[in-house]
Amino acid sequence: MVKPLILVTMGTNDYPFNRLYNYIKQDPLFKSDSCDWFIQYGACELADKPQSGQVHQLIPRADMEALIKRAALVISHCGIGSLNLVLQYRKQVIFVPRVQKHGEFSDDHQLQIASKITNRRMKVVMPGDKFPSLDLEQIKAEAPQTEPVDITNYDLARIINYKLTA
Amino acid sequence: MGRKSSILVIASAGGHLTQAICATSLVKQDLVLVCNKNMLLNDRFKRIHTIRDTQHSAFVHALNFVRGIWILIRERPSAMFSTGGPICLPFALLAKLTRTRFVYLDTLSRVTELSNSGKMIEKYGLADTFLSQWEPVATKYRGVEYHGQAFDLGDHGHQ
Repeated sequence: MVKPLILVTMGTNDYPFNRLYNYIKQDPLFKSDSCDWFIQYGACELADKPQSGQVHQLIPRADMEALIKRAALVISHCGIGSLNLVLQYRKQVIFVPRVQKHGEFSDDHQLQIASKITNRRMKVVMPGDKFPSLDLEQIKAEAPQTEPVDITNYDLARIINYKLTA
Repeated sequence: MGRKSSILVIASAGGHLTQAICATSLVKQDLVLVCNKNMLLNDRFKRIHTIRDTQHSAFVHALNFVRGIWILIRERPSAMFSTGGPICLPFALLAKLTRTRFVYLDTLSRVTELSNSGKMIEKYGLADTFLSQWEPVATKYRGVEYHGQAFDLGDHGHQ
Protein backbone atom coordinates (compact mmCIF):
# COMPACT_ATOMS: atom_id res chain seq x y z
CA MET A 1 0.00 0.00 0.00
CA VAL A 2 1.26 3.46 -0.91
CA LYS A 3 2.10 5.51 2.15
CA PRO A 4 0.52 8.99 2.45
CA LEU A 5 2.85 11.84 1.52
CA ILE A 6 3.52 14.84 3.74
CA LEU A 7 5.01 17.61 1.62
CA VAL A 8 6.97 20.39 3.30
CA THR A 9 7.88 23.47 1.25
CA MET A 10 9.88 26.49 2.33
CA GLY A 11 9.79 28.34 -1.01
CA THR A 12 12.49 29.74 -3.25
CA ASN A 13 13.82 32.59 -1.14
CA ASP A 14 17.29 32.76 0.39
CA TYR A 15 16.32 33.10 4.05
CA PRO A 16 16.56 30.02 6.31
CA PHE A 17 13.45 28.75 8.03
CA ASN A 18 14.84 26.51 10.78
CA ARG A 19 11.84 27.14 13.04
CA LEU A 20 9.54 25.26 10.65
CA TYR A 21 12.08 22.49 10.33
CA ASN A 22 12.28 22.18 14.12
CA TYR A 23 8.49 21.96 14.34
CA ILE A 24 8.25 19.04 11.92
CA LYS A 25 11.18 17.06 13.23
CA GLN A 26 9.66 17.08 16.72
CA ASP A 27 6.51 15.37 15.47
CA PRO A 28 6.49 11.57 16.03
CA LEU A 29 5.56 11.01 12.36
CA PHE A 30 8.97 12.40 11.36
CA LYS A 31 10.62 9.27 12.74
CA SER A 32 7.83 6.96 11.69
CA ASP A 33 7.73 4.64 8.70
CA SER A 34 3.97 5.04 8.31
CA CYS A 35 4.15 7.99 5.92
CA ASP A 36 6.51 9.45 3.32
CA TRP A 37 7.96 12.92 3.62
CA PHE A 38 9.23 15.23 0.91
CA ILE A 39 11.00 18.27 2.31
CA GLN A 40 12.01 21.18 0.05
CA TYR A 41 14.23 22.94 2.54
CA GLY A 42 15.55 25.97 0.66
CA ALA A 43 18.12 27.83 2.78
CA CYS A 44 17.38 25.77 5.90
CA GLU A 45 20.20 24.09 7.81
CA LEU A 46 19.03 20.53 7.43
CA ALA A 47 20.46 18.20 10.08
CA ASP A 48 18.06 15.28 10.57
CA LYS A 49 16.26 13.53 7.78
CA PRO A 50 12.85 11.88 8.07
CA GLN A 51 12.63 8.14 8.56
CA SER A 52 10.98 7.74 5.19
CA GLY A 53 11.16 10.11 2.24
CA GLN A 54 13.40 12.64 0.53
CA VAL A 55 14.89 16.07 1.11
CA HIS A 56 15.78 18.53 -1.66
CA GLN A 57 17.04 22.08 -1.46
CA LEU A 58 15.07 23.37 -4.44
CA ILE A 59 12.99 21.75 -7.15
CA PRO A 60 11.38 23.07 -10.35
CA ARG A 61 7.79 24.29 -10.12
CA ALA A 62 6.55 21.43 -12.32
CA ASP A 63 8.04 18.89 -9.90
CA MET A 64 6.52 20.74 -6.97
CA GLU A 65 3.14 20.65 -8.68
CA ALA A 66 3.45 16.88 -9.16
CA LEU A 67 4.24 16.47 -5.47
CA ILE A 68 1.34 18.70 -4.42
CA LYS A 69 -0.99 16.46 -6.43
CA ARG A 70 0.23 13.43 -4.51
CA ALA A 71 0.38 15.03 -1.08
CA ALA A 72 -2.12 14.14 1.63
CA LEU A 73 -0.91 17.06 3.76
CA VAL A 74 1.13 20.13 2.84
CA ILE A 75 3.14 22.05 5.43
CA SER A 76 4.31 25.35 3.99
CA HIS A 77 5.73 28.76 4.58
CA CYS A 78 3.18 31.44 3.70
CA GLY A 79 4.46 32.24 0.23
CA ILE A 80 2.18 33.19 -2.63
CA GLY A 81 3.48 30.48 -4.99
CA SER A 82 2.73 27.76 -2.45
CA LEU A 83 -0.64 29.28 -1.59
CA ASN A 84 -1.57 29.30 -5.28
CA LEU A 85 -0.73 25.61 -5.74
CA VAL A 86 -2.52 24.33 -2.64
CA LEU A 87 -5.63 26.33 -3.58
CA GLN A 88 -5.58 24.84 -7.06
CA TYR A 89 -5.40 21.31 -5.68
CA ARG A 90 -7.66 21.93 -2.64
CA LYS A 91 -5.17 20.48 -0.21
CA GLN A 92 -5.16 20.17 3.53
CA VAL A 93 -2.47 22.64 4.65
CA ILE A 94 -0.62 23.90 7.68
CA PHE A 95 0.89 27.33 6.94
CA VAL A 96 3.67 28.79 9.05
CA PRO A 97 4.37 32.44 8.10
CA ARG A 98 8.00 33.55 8.09
CA VAL A 99 8.74 36.37 10.53
CA GLN A 100 11.45 39.00 10.47
CA LYS A 101 12.45 38.79 14.13
CA HIS A 102 13.69 35.21 13.64
CA GLY A 103 15.65 36.15 10.50
CA GLU A 104 13.18 34.24 8.31
CA PHE A 105 12.53 37.13 5.94
CA SER A 106 13.38 40.78 5.44
CA ASP A 107 9.97 41.85 6.75
CA ASP A 108 6.68 40.49 8.09
CA HIS A 109 4.64 40.51 4.91
CA GLN A 110 3.88 36.77 5.23
CA LEU A 111 1.89 37.66 8.35
CA GLN A 112 -0.19 40.04 6.23
CA ILE A 113 -1.24 37.41 3.70
CA ALA A 114 -1.61 34.80 6.46
CA SER A 115 -4.28 37.00 8.03
CA LYS A 116 -6.30 36.72 4.80
CA ILE A 117 -6.37 32.90 4.69
CA THR A 118 -9.87 31.88 5.72
CA ASN A 119 -10.04 28.49 4.03
CA ARG A 120 -11.45 25.91 6.42
CA ARG A 121 -8.91 23.23 5.49
CA MET A 122 -5.94 25.52 5.98
CA LYS A 123 -4.46 26.07 9.44
CA VAL A 124 -2.20 29.04 10.04
CA VAL A 125 0.38 28.83 12.83
CA MET A 126 0.91 32.45 13.81
CA PRO A 127 3.88 33.48 16.01
CA GLY A 128 3.20 32.26 19.55
CA ASP A 129 0.81 29.53 18.38
CA LYS A 130 1.61 25.88 19.04
CA PHE A 131 2.35 23.78 15.97
CA PRO A 132 -0.42 21.14 15.78
CA SER A 133 0.27 17.44 16.28
CA LEU A 134 0.00 15.56 13.00
CA ASP A 135 -2.85 13.08 12.92
CA LEU A 136 -1.95 10.03 10.82
CA GLU A 137 -5.54 8.79 10.54
CA GLN A 138 -6.71 12.18 9.30
CA ILE A 139 -3.83 12.29 6.82
CA LYS A 140 -4.61 8.77 5.57
CA ALA A 141 -8.28 9.68 5.16
CA GLU A 142 -7.46 12.54 2.80
CA ALA A 143 -9.15 12.01 -0.57
CA PRO A 144 -6.73 12.41 -3.48
CA GLN A 145 -7.11 15.70 -5.38
CA THR A 146 -5.12 15.48 -8.58
CA GLU A 147 -7.12 17.74 -10.90
CA PRO A 148 -6.51 21.45 -10.47
CA VAL A 149 -9.24 24.06 -10.14
CA ASP A 150 -8.64 27.10 -12.34
CA ILE A 151 -8.38 29.94 -9.82
CA THR A 152 -7.05 32.59 -12.24
CA ASN A 153 -8.89 35.89 -12.03
CA TYR A 154 -9.67 36.45 -15.72
CA ASP A 155 -11.28 39.82 -15.07
CA LEU A 156 -7.91 41.14 -13.91
CA ALA A 157 -6.12 39.27 -16.72
CA ARG A 158 -8.40 40.97 -19.25
CA ILE A 159 -7.54 44.39 -17.82
CA ILE A 160 -3.80 43.62 -17.80
CA ASN A 161 -4.03 42.47 -21.43
CA TYR A 162 -5.79 45.71 -22.33
CA LYS A 163 -3.24 47.86 -20.49
CA LEU A 164 -0.34 46.07 -22.21
CA THR A 165 -1.68 45.97 -25.74
CA ALA A 166 -4.29 48.72 -26.29
CA MET B 1 8.63 41.59 -42.81
CA GLY B 2 8.26 43.17 -39.40
CA ARG B 3 9.36 41.31 -36.30
CA LYS B 4 6.52 40.13 -34.06
CA SER B 5 6.52 42.23 -30.92
CA SER B 6 6.71 40.60 -27.52
CA ILE B 7 5.86 41.52 -23.94
CA LEU B 8 8.77 41.44 -21.50
CA VAL B 9 7.71 40.00 -18.13
CA ILE B 10 10.01 40.62 -15.15
CA ALA B 11 9.27 38.50 -12.08
CA SER B 12 11.26 36.80 -9.33
CA ALA B 13 10.90 33.04 -9.05
CA GLY B 14 8.13 31.77 -6.77
CA GLY B 15 5.06 33.77 -5.90
CA HIS B 16 5.87 36.81 -8.03
CA LEU B 17 6.17 34.58 -11.08
CA THR B 18 2.99 32.67 -10.23
CA GLN B 19 1.09 35.96 -10.16
CA ALA B 20 2.69 37.11 -13.42
CA ILE B 21 1.61 33.88 -15.14
CA CYS B 22 -1.98 34.34 -13.92
CA ALA B 23 -2.09 38.04 -14.76
CA THR B 24 -0.80 37.59 -18.33
CA SER B 25 -2.95 34.55 -19.07
CA LEU B 26 -4.99 36.41 -21.72
CA VAL B 27 -2.03 38.07 -23.47
CA LYS B 28 -1.79 36.71 -27.02
CA GLN B 29 1.62 38.15 -27.86
CA ASP B 30 4.83 36.26 -27.17
CA LEU B 31 5.98 36.55 -23.57
CA VAL B 32 9.68 36.76 -22.74
CA LEU B 33 10.61 36.28 -19.10
CA VAL B 34 13.34 37.92 -17.04
CA CYS B 35 13.81 35.99 -13.81
CA ASN B 36 16.36 35.43 -11.05
CA LYS B 37 16.23 31.64 -11.39
CA ASN B 38 15.90 29.45 -14.43
CA MET B 39 14.15 26.39 -13.12
CA LEU B 40 10.94 26.89 -14.99
CA LEU B 41 9.48 24.49 -17.50
CA ASN B 42 6.64 26.59 -18.81
CA ASP B 43 5.46 26.86 -22.36
CA ARG B 44 4.01 30.30 -21.62
CA PHE B 45 7.39 31.90 -22.26
CA LYS B 46 9.17 32.06 -25.60
CA ARG B 47 12.50 32.77 -23.91
CA ILE B 48 13.85 33.16 -20.39
CA HIS B 49 16.68 35.53 -19.42
CA THR B 50 18.23 34.83 -16.04
CA ILE B 51 19.63 37.77 -14.09
CA ARG B 52 21.24 38.10 -10.68
CA ASP B 53 19.05 38.32 -7.63
CA THR B 54 19.32 41.09 -5.07
CA GLN B 55 17.24 43.12 -2.69
CA HIS B 56 19.50 45.97 -1.76
CA SER B 57 22.80 45.72 -3.67
CA ALA B 58 23.26 48.79 -5.87
CA PHE B 59 26.10 46.98 -7.63
CA VAL B 60 23.91 44.04 -8.67
CA HIS B 61 21.10 46.39 -9.71
CA ALA B 62 23.66 48.27 -11.87
CA LEU B 63 24.81 44.99 -13.44
CA ASN B 64 21.19 44.05 -14.12
CA PHE B 65 20.59 47.49 -15.62
CA VAL B 66 23.38 46.87 -18.16
CA ARG B 67 22.07 43.37 -18.81
CA GLY B 68 18.62 44.90 -19.21
CA ILE B 69 19.87 47.18 -22.00
CA TRP B 70 21.11 44.09 -23.85
CA ILE B 71 17.80 42.27 -23.27
CA LEU B 72 15.79 45.25 -24.55
CA ILE B 73 17.96 45.52 -27.67
CA ARG B 74 17.52 41.83 -28.33
CA GLU B 75 13.81 41.54 -27.56
CA ARG B 76 12.51 45.01 -28.52
CA PRO B 77 9.34 44.47 -26.46
CA SER B 78 6.23 46.52 -27.18
CA ALA B 79 5.50 46.67 -23.44
CA MET B 80 6.85 45.46 -20.10
CA PHE B 81 5.03 43.91 -17.16
CA SER B 82 6.16 43.09 -13.65
CA THR B 83 4.83 41.71 -10.38
CA GLY B 84 8.17 42.35 -8.58
CA GLY B 85 10.36 41.64 -6.59
CA PRO B 86 13.29 44.03 -6.44
CA ILE B 87 14.88 42.68 -9.67
CA CYS B 88 12.23 44.67 -11.54
CA LEU B 89 13.69 48.04 -10.48
CA PRO B 90 16.38 48.42 -13.20
CA PHE B 91 13.79 47.35 -15.79
CA ALA B 92 11.27 49.88 -14.49
CA LEU B 93 13.93 52.57 -14.96
CA LEU B 94 14.77 51.26 -18.43
CA ALA B 95 11.09 51.30 -19.38
CA LYS B 96 10.93 54.97 -18.36
CA LEU B 97 14.14 55.88 -20.22
CA THR B 98 13.14 54.06 -23.41
CA ARG B 99 9.50 55.15 -23.16
CA THR B 100 8.36 51.54 -23.26
CA ARG B 101 4.94 51.01 -21.74
CA PHE B 102 5.31 49.52 -18.24
CA VAL B 103 2.50 47.92 -16.26
CA TYR B 104 3.28 47.04 -12.65
CA LEU B 105 1.13 44.82 -10.43
CA ASP B 106 2.18 44.99 -6.78
CA THR B 107 2.34 41.60 -5.11
CA LEU B 108 -0.68 39.96 -3.49
CA SER B 109 1.24 39.43 -0.28
CA ARG B 110 1.23 43.18 0.48
CA VAL B 111 -2.12 43.51 2.14
CA THR B 112 -1.67 46.71 4.16
CA GLU B 113 1.01 48.66 2.27
CA LEU B 114 2.90 48.60 -1.01
CA SER B 115 6.01 46.46 -1.33
CA ASN B 116 9.36 48.26 -1.11
CA SER B 117 9.82 47.94 -4.88
CA GLY B 118 6.26 49.17 -5.39
CA LYS B 119 6.92 52.21 -3.20
CA MET B 120 9.95 53.17 -5.32
CA ILE B 121 8.10 52.67 -8.61
CA GLU B 122 5.19 54.74 -7.32
CA LYS B 123 7.41 57.45 -5.85
CA TYR B 124 9.38 58.00 -9.06
CA GLY B 125 6.43 57.48 -11.40
CA LEU B 126 8.13 54.66 -13.30
CA ALA B 127 4.97 52.77 -14.27
CA ASP B 128 2.39 53.83 -16.87
CA THR B 129 -0.13 51.69 -15.02
CA PHE B 130 0.28 50.76 -11.36
CA LEU B 131 -2.08 48.26 -9.75
CA SER B 132 -2.38 47.00 -6.19
CA GLN B 133 -4.22 43.77 -5.43
CA TRP B 134 -5.80 45.22 -2.28
CA GLU B 135 -8.31 48.05 -2.47
CA PRO B 136 -7.37 49.71 0.86
CA VAL B 137 -3.76 49.95 -0.37
CA ALA B 138 -4.75 51.36 -3.76
CA THR B 139 -6.88 54.07 -2.20
CA LYS B 140 -3.86 55.36 -0.24
CA TYR B 141 -2.08 56.38 -3.44
CA ARG B 142 -3.17 58.66 -6.24
CA GLY B 143 -2.90 56.83 -9.54
CA VAL B 144 -2.77 53.32 -8.07
CA GLU B 145 -5.59 51.19 -9.46
CA TYR B 146 -7.37 48.19 -7.99
CA HIS B 147 -8.99 45.55 -10.19
CA GLY B 148 -8.92 42.49 -7.96
CA GLN B 149 -6.38 39.77 -7.28
CA ALA B 150 -4.36 37.63 -9.66
CA PHE B 151 -6.05 34.50 -8.35
CA ASP B 152 -9.00 33.67 -6.17
CA LEU B 153 -8.27 33.14 -2.47
CA GLY B 154 -11.68 31.56 -1.84
CA ASP B 155 -12.65 28.04 -0.80
CA HIS B 156 -13.10 26.36 -4.25
CA GLY B 157 -15.31 23.59 -2.94
CA HIS B 158 -13.20 22.82 0.13
CA GLN B 159 -15.24 20.90 2.64
